[in-house]
Amino acid sequence: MGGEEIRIVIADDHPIFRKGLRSLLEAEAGFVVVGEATDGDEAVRLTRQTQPDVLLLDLTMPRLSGMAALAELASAPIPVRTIVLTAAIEKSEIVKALQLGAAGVVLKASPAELLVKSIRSVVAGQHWIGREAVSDLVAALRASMDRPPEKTAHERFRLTPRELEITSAVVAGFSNREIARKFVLSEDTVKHHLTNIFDKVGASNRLELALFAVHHRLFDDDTAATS
Amino acid sequence: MSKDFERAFRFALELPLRYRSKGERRWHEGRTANISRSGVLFWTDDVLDVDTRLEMRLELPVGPHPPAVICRGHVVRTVVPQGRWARPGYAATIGAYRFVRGELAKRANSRY
Repeated sequence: MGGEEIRIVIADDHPIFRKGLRSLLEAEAGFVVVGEATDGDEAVRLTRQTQPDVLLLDLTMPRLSGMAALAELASAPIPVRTIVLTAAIEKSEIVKALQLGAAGVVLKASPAELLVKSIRSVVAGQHWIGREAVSDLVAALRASMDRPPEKTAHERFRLTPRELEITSAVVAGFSNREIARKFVLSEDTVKHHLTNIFDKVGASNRLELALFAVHHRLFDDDTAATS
Repeated sequence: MSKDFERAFRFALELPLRYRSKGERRWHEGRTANISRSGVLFWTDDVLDVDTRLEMRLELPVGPHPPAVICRGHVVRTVVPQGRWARPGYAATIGAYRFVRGELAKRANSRY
């Protein structure tokens, strides 16, 4: 981590938010924004390319979510301190983010001074967790340590590997006929699988299934949806 | 608002949303607050009237080439600013919808 200058990458899909954040940070002595990413993929690429001191990472981003970007960065660690900067976060997500190497979590609703302080803290080697977000984080951490290894989303919903493949294809926009061709099945078999999938997850149509898959991050632990 | 919209489970998903009213060429940007199979609550800087018919494009954050869902619906109510949202939101129905696959969605999205 070099010199007195703190080099920062902003990853957020909102252009106005990025612009505002850049202005705010660059008004701060010693802060330099070295890049802006509009999605998780770009965040990973830019972070590897520019090797910033700090990555400010939104969770909800297109192409690759913030959490998936964290996992990607963790697979080939570089000395960046990542602060998850998000509008909302659940305790379980904070725990997961920390497990994936995040150094801090700051809510977007926080005062600007708090963000500045958090950046300086993580650069100094500390962790920063926004107070409001983590009133009972210790309990959440303890619970996560006491629990047996967490089941993946598709295990929780008892989806078979085949059902998961078909769900992935549905979310990716494939029709029943295309899915049948892709997995060398009859259309009737695909329909049968879909009925079972809908029953298991409580969805009534393909849109609801897609929303369910995104909400429960069904593909975060596995291959992403087929494109 | 239809009964179905009331009953359907709402997923708290903040996703980028593009929309345009019937006959309009330009897409506007918004952000969803929650979505169900039959309706969406979203925030935007624009002003929309109740009953405005909309075409909406929702990008699903999945995989390297995110698919999109294009749906039609209409505004059913305005939601006053609340919580961290400093602007009004809109609840819209989701009627017909179709998925646009990976690369196609990417190309289409990049045009707007």
